[in-house]
This record gives sequence, structure tokens and C-alpha cells, in this order.
Amino acid sequence: MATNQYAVKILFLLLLPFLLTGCKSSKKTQEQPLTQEISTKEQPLESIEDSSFELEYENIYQKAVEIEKNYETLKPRAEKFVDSYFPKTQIQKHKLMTVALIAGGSNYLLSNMSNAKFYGTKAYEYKEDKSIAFPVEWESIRWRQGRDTNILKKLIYMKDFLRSCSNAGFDAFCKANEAFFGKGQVLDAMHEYQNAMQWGLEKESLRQECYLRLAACFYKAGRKEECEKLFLELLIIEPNPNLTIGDQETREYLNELKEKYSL
Amino acid sequence: MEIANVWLQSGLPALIRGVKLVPKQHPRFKNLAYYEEGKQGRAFHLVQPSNKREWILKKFTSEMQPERSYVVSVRSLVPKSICFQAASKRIVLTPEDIKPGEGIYSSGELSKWLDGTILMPKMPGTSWQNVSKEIRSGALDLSMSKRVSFARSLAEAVVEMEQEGCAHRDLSHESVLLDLQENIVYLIDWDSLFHGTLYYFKNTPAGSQGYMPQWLGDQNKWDSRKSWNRKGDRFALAILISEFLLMNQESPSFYDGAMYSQEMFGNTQHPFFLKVSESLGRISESLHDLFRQTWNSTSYDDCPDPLKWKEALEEIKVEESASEQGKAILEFDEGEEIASSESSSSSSKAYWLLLLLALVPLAIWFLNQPENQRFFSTSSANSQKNEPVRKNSEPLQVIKNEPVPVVKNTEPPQVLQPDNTKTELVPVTQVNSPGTPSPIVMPQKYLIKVMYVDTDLKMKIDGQEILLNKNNTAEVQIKPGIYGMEMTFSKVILERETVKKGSSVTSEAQITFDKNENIIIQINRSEGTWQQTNTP
Repeated sequence: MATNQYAVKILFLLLLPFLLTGCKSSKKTQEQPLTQEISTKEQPLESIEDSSFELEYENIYQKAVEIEKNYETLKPRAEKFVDSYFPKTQIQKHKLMTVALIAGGSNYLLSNMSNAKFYGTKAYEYKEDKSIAFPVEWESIRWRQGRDTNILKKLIYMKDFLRSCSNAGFDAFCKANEAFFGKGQVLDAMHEYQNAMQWGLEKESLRQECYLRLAACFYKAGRKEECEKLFLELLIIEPNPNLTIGDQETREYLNELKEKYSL
Repeated sequence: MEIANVWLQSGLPALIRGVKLVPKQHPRFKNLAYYEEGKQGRAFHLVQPSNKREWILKKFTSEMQPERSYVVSVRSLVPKSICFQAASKRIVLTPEDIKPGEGIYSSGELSKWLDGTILMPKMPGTSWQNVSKEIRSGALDLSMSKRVSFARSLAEAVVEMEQEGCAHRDLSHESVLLDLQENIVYLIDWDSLFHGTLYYFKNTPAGSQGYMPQWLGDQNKWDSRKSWNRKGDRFALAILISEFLLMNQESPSFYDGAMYSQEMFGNTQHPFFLKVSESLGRISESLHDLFRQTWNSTSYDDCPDPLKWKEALEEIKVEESASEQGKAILEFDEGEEIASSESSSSSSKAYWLLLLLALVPLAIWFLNQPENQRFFSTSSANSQKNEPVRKNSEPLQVIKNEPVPVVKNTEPPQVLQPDNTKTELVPVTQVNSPGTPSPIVMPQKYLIKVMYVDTDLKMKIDGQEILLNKNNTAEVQIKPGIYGMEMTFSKVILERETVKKGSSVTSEAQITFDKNENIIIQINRSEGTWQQTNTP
């Protein structure tokens, strides 16, 4: 038996080089892919950098859709991303602003308030107009689906905190008041209240007024969906807002929403 | 902030050449208008909300903006077939093309921003850049018959352009769109066009990397003058045809999707070139020869005639080709409608003028007939002295005391409530000069909208209280003229961020009811005044 096994092994060793040569030569007859050699050669450095930027951004963004679950792992990644990249285009600036918000939000959920404030403030610095915009997946009505009230509250408070990291929206808020109350110019007021929200308002009471007044403006402008989303955020922060603004129609609509979303 | 973003965030459409358009939101980023960055500027995606039709608005960067006359001429110089529609249907906008209106976004900034931009309907299909990305990723398997059809369609387009004496000059994976249903290509990005009647301008692009022949220069400097000729598409045509036919999952990618790098061009021994030639040779010997000829060229004149490419591609027999050969069916295109609006409006004016000239003598003859005169005697007398506006210095008289010959309905004009259930009476007044016949003024419906965001507003017209809707509007039926109106509302005290409700104030001023049926009242609650603006 043992001698037979030896014979088989020796035979196999002798045949191995022939087998390998055979495989190689058969490969030659197959159709060669057009550019096997070149495909990895001349990739410009910039596009490699850009692709890693895009890839990491996508990863962070996807995880941030469920930030309440992923904030611990998101925190270092988002911070590293913000600290590593310098944006070149408007889209990249927008992306870095988004990741800075994610970093700020993750820190907020970890109760690391100084870091949360740092990245929240940084988010306002990226875009030329110093504005922020939250990911669409962070809309209150989307968050409301499949999440319990406590988590929803936590997330809305996180957003509200990020809006408080800058006060550049204060002037816009005052202008909006003048347009809304002073002149009844709802569209101008809506634009300025939106600016105020995007540029940040430090004072909590003003932010709450801003939520309510912007919701009223959205309603008057026929943008009911946006009115509802924003009003829901307000109701979570302040369950009993003073609904004595706007005309009768607006007040009735806001009261309807209040009943609909009473938590 | 970028004007397009402000426009998007307003939530309102802009009225451009009679079409309501809104910027499309970036698919991922809220409040950011969706655009694609190109060499010459940005292509913003717009939507026509009424029918969801998509449009492209091309905004040049200041450095790359060609002269207006050049941009305007492009439309008339390209051939007329389907693949040139992005050029033949485009319109160069001026500030006058944007019109204000109720529920419409308009601003001086937007008008200024739109000046010199190009509006065009979005072409069907996907850029070759995106299609090739899908092929590389394995998500799309493009059949050989489709590949040949696209190559043939592109060759035909270049043949047509050369016949018209023009060249696109920037054919690349970005400027060629593939309609995968119809198997035809559409060409976009027409602002490098060569034509004998156009002047060369120095900021014109030489082409795109991965599609420019070696004789145009190198990375350090491309000489755009060298591609400024009628044959300027021949090299890129060969490159694109080879890409269409051979792109696969193993293909290399340069400059975000091109199959060749600029460094390869001109190197006749480059291994990749040899492989491509060999692969084309397996499809057709003619293709192999034409590609080699292009690769070995040192000028556009040496490159093969696009007609030869077309013939070589037509010779290729692919099994499914007959059924897949695309016949594009064009639907009604509003781009055409908009573009021709100026000429149509002038022709419609001429039509109405002719109609008027024909109808006036007819009407005179008709009125002069004795049997007709008795029907029209009262109204014709009155119609000569139609004075709808009263003078406030003269004493007021209530119309109900006077005979009104034409109006059959003797009920006083009504104030219409929104639900049409409650009504309120408004006395209609007018002033008549002594001794003149009473002019007939018919009551009209007006919608009064008060810009006021509170619930304590009260309104009186000529002392008659008008009930307001929940949204501070009122519909009234009243004779045109000037009336006294009293508004009672609460003042506000604005001190930076604080808003305090002040005392109630009554302010009286005049309101004019004329041809405009929508009356807008602007209240200044800080000053306790109001005024009629009639614009939102």
C-alpha cells in the first residue's frame, strides 16, 4: 500500500509542471480582456482621492439614516472625515456640512456636549452662505415611523440643538417678524424664517417662535407638507405652543395638527 | 445664496416665456437645486409642474460665457434631424423672458441671473458616461446590435453635420446621450460649435480629455484653434465608435469614464491600441482599417470621412438588428412652442387686426338697420359716455334712486361669501354730471385679499361692513370706481426679536375697483396704515 502511495505522489509531482504549462497555454487562446494591463496603471491621483471621499461619505450617510442606532460608531468616522477633507466643489461643501452635522449629532447623542457644539458650529462654516440643511432622512415625519416616542424626542432635540449652534439667523428672524407681523408679507417672511432656521438661532424661545411662524408661513404658501413636518418638531419640543398667530384659517389648521400629533 | 436655491426654496414656479418652471431638488440634498457641473458652466434641471416635463437651464461661468450672438446662432446652424434637438429647440433667455404674477417667483436677481442662460428641453436617454459605467459594473449588458445602432446613429450625425458645414467639437462620453429604447443618440453641449459663419472665440473648449487627438496639444495647453474646423469631430467619432462597440467590464476608465487616456493617442505601438484594433477587426475588417487610419493620423484631414464609418457600420450584420433599429417618434415639444412664441404672437396680432377690420363695417351695417336700431338705441347712446370713475369732490348719490335701463336684476350688488351662503349688501354709488345721460356701469366681481395675519381685521366700503373670510379675503360685487374704505386692525410693536400686539386702529383711505379683479391690500401694522397694491 505504502509503495503504491509513493508511486502516485511521484507521478503527480512529475505531471504538475506539465499541467501548469497546459493551463497557461490554454488561457492564451481565450479572448483577452481589452485592457487588463492598463486598467490599474494610469488612474489619476485626484480621482482616487475623490472616490475615497465619495465612498466614505456614502458609508457615513447611510449609517446616519439610523443615527440613533449607529451614533457610537459614527462619531469617530464622521469626525475623522470632517478633520481630513477640504472641500473643493459646492457639492463637496454640502457633503462636509452634512457629515459635520452627523458628527455633532452623534456627540449630542453621546452627551459629549462640547464636541457636539464644536462639530455643530463647524457645519455652518462650509457653505458660502453659512447655512445648514439636514439629510432628508432626518425629517420628523420619517423619524416618526417605526420609532418610539422617546427616541423620536431625542432625535428632534438633537436637530434643535444643532440649530442652536450658530446665531447667524438672528437678523433674518427679525426681518421675518417685520414682514410677517408688520406687513403681512407671508412669502417674504417665509424666506427669512427659513434663512433663520438654516443659519441658526441660539435662543431657545426664538427658535420655538421661528418653528411656529415658519409653519404658519408654509401653510399660507400652500406648502402643507412642510408645515406639518416642522410643526411636528415644535410639538415634540413644546407640546403646548401658543397658537395665536396667523389668520383664522391658519390657526384652525395648526390646531388640527396639534390634535393629530398629540403625544 | 445661489439664486437657483432661493428660487427652489421659495416653492414657487417662475414664469419663463409663458411656461411655469421650478428647479428640481437635488435627489439627496434638501434645498439644493440639482445641477451638473460641466466645462462651461452648470446645467440646472428644471421641471414644469403642470406636466412634469423636464428642462435644462445652462448657466455659463463668467469666464466661459461665449458672446451672445454666438449662443443665439447655434440653433439655426445645426442640422434639423432628431439627434440635434438639444440645439435646435433651445432658447437663449433675456431678463424680459421672466414675468411676475401671483403665485409666481420673480425677482430682479433672478432676471439678471437668467440673462444669457440657455433653456432647452431635456433630451431623452442617458449619457454614454453613465451607460458605460453600468456596463463596467456589470449592471447593463448592451447587445451588439444596439452597440452597432448607436455607432451608426453617431456616424450619421457627424455626416449630417459635415454636410451642413459644422462640427460639434466636443463629442465625448458626456455630450452623447443614448436612447436605449429607440437606439439612437442625441447630442448635447452645443456651445463649442464650429460653423463657417461663426467667429472663433478664445475661451471655446478644444474638446474633452480622452477624445482629443494628440495634435491639439497636451495637458499643459490645448490649442482650441486646431479643432476649429468642419472636420473637428472625426477623431472623437472614431474613439466613441470603438467605445460603443467594445466597452466591457474590463475596460479601463480615465477622466471619469473614458476608455482612453490622452497619453495613448499618437502611440501606434501602444498595447491597448493594438488590442482595440484586433477586437474591431473581429467585428469588421473595415472598422479595423478605419480605426487604424484614425490612430495613425496627424491631422483631422488624415482622419477617415464619417461617411466611411457609416458605410462600414451598415455592412455589419447582427441578428436582432432589424427589430431593434430605432425609429424615434417625436411627441409634441413645448420647446418649439416657446421658441416660436415671438413669431406666433406677432402673427396672431395680425390675425386679430384683420378680423377687426372685417367685423367693424359689418357691425356698423348691422346697427344701421332700422329693425336693429330699436334694440340698441338706449345702450348705444350710453356707451358713448362711459365714465366709470367718480370724482370724490362731488356729492355722492345712491344708484338705487336712478333708473338703470339695461340691468334686469334689480337686486343690489352682493358681497359674496366664500361658501356662497351668506351675502351682504353694498350700496353702489356713482356721480352724474347734471344734464348728462346716466352712464351704465355694470357691477363686477372683485376678490379683495388683505395681507394680514391676525383675526381681528374689520373692513368697511363706503360705510358698509364687509364680512371677511377666515383667510382675510372677501369677494365683492361692485361697480368699478373709487370708494372710501375703512380698515380696523391691531397695530404691532416690533423691537428687534420681540413682537407685541398694540392697540386697535382704524385707518381710512381710497380703494379703486378697475379692470383688475384681484385687489390686494397691504397693511402696515407698525405704522397703522394700509394701501392698495394689487401685487402680492
